[in-house]
Amino acid sequence: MSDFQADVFQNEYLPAGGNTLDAVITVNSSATASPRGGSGGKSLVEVIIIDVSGSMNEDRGRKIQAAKLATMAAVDTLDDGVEFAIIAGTDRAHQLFPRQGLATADAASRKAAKDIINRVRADGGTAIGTWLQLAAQIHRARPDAISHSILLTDGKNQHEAPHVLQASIDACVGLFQCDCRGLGTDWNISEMRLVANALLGTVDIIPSPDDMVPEFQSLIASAMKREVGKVALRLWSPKGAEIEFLKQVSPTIEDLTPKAVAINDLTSDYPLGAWSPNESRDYHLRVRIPAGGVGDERLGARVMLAIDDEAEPVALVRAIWTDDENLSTRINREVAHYTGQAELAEAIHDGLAARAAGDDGSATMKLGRAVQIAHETGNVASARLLEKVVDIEDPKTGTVRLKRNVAVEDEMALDVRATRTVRVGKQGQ
Amino acid sequence: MSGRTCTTCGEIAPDDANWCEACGNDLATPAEAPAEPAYVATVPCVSCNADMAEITDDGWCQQCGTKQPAPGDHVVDDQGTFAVVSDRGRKHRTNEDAGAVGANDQVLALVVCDGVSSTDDAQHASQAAAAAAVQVLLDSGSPAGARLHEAALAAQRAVVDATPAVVETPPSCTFVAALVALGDEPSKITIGWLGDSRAYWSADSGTRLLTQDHTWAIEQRMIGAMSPEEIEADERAHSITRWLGKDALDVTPEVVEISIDEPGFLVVCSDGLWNYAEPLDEFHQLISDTYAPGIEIVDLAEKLVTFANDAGGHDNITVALARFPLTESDSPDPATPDPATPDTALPDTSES
Repeated sequence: MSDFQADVFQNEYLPAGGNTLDAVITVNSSATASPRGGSGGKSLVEVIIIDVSGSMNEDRGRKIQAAKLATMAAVDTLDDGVEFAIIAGTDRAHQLFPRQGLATADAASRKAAKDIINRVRADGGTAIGTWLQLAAQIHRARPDAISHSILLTDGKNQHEAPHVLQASIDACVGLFQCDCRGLGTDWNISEMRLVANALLGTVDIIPSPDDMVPEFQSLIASAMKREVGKVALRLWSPKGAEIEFLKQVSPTIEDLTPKAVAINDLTSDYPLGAWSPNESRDYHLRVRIPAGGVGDERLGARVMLAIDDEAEPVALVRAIWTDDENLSTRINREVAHYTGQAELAEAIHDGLAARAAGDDGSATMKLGRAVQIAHETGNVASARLLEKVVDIEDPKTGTVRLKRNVAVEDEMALDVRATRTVRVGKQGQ
Repeated sequence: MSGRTCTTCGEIAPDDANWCEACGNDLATPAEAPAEPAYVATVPCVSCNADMAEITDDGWCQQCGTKQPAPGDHVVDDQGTFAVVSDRGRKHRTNEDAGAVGANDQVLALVVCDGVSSTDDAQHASQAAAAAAVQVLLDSGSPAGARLHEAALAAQRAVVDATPAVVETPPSCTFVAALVALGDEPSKITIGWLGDSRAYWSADSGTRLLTQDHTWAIEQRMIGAMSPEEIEADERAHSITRWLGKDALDVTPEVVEISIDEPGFLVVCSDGLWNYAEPLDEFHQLISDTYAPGIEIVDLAEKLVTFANDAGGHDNITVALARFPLTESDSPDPATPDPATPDTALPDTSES
């Protein structure tokens, strides 16, 4: 049984002397994807980390109340048998439930957990690194499980030096995946990105406390669908080749290049985290290989998926050198599409940075370009977020004006969701 | 909508038809796609010389990534005074040409078939055709002219047999065969062909083209209704008008016979070679320049293939060669070692 199947989209034809290959690789997990040797999926270990610093009392206690309700809803969403723990974070980390180690979800443990969550009071500072370290300690006890955490914060990492946070993150890599959520607008996107990028998770804003319960329920539901843990994309490339980049490009853009773990001289693993059955993700690979002669055919990369260190081959990225310009100048549709989505994300990022720096000219140009690409490629979600930051005169030409009053949560939502892409063929009008 | 050709009766059926309306043949069951056999390396990597163990069973080098040549990419059959070399060329991804040669104590046969690359899996057609034709040329007791007709028919049957049950465009190929009666003096060569693969006689005195391409342009020139400029400008100019295949209209070969009383070479080849050596005096120059005293026939064929590849290799290239005079040693029987072959077969004309 094959758990994964992949398709490669590329123009394999290179001109004489050409050495750069671009390919989009779509990887799909099968409906029955499950770890080798097991009949069902792996068990989930869920550690929920909630911020209970003093600032959670703001908004007349609505934040902490919402966080409690959401965490209780998350506990209720856990299937029987899932092992879980709750961490309360301030300038230190406290394990709320169970007292130590992990609890197994059932009616009694869910009730006990909720009773304790309900009694929590917010007080103290914010030191996210300590929260992660405690989570790592709990997850470490179950190395074979699908290890997942939710990290909720409403503020910046004020009571900890940046290098301490970084060291804590480094210590967590490979132990668990972490989806980060920021409540309100006082948290720091860069800090949460640092955590989520390293721990193969997502970042998003929860603008209002009222949105917390459904968000937590959906995060838990997604985590429980994951059945294949610790999957890696394994890339072989020939002698003299250089992987210029490997990016996940769907559902979101994540640069995997720095995550490479060398297996041997020619092979590296890029950790992808856990997969659900019937999941589909796209990757954009750019590899430079020694140029061949006209008529030569070579492999630019062999793509494999490694699960528990057993690799199955899924796709080949090929190069054929030709003197036929009609062949070598073609740009593959999928490659062009995701190159556009990457440019969209970059234009949003650069535009918002320019806006923050007061460079309205540059901000207008970049965000205008973003509007244009979002329109052209049918990225409706990005287009809607852009509409809250700029007034759009003509989406076709990217003619926009910066809005004078922009809600902070709208700007943060645009920033944090700029990396969400759409797939080829969903061309909007 | 191109439709599908019923392989039993030739009726064109709609793409979605399950049964042939004309004969009831099952069109829905696709021909079993043969599993790709594992690649077995017999030599180190052709590019980086990495050990055979580095070649994967899908035919790639695990060191430099080079695709190892497929078994059909470069085929050589060296029979001493005659030989055939068939090569994929530089442009096509598969070798759709095929050549076959053979001899017994009475005749020598050279056959070249050029798979039409716009058809599906044309290499299956050309390989089947060439092999079947040589067999008939060697085994039949018929007179030479009749034997060539029989060979073309056998080749046609082999192509049809190699055609999958369901196919978009039935595979097809050209055909050119040369039959040489051994022991006759002067030597008698009988040529039969369909399409634009050719036979040449090349001697010191000059090179003769023995075949006339079955192409639209040449037929129009013979009809004479259009000007040569109009003919050349027409997109059909170089399309062939006769071929072997399920969809062939007429598989009767055109046949010529010549007598040879001087030393020289019989060259039977696909357009992958002759396209780079046109017109005839260039072909003569090519043979003269490539020939060197003492050269093995197979090496001469290899050099002609190399010439075509160096010139661009835009098509598959197949060259079958026989050296005249033919002696007893032409028998492929390995028990009879080749006596030294005369170096004078083609006196050195490279200065000309």
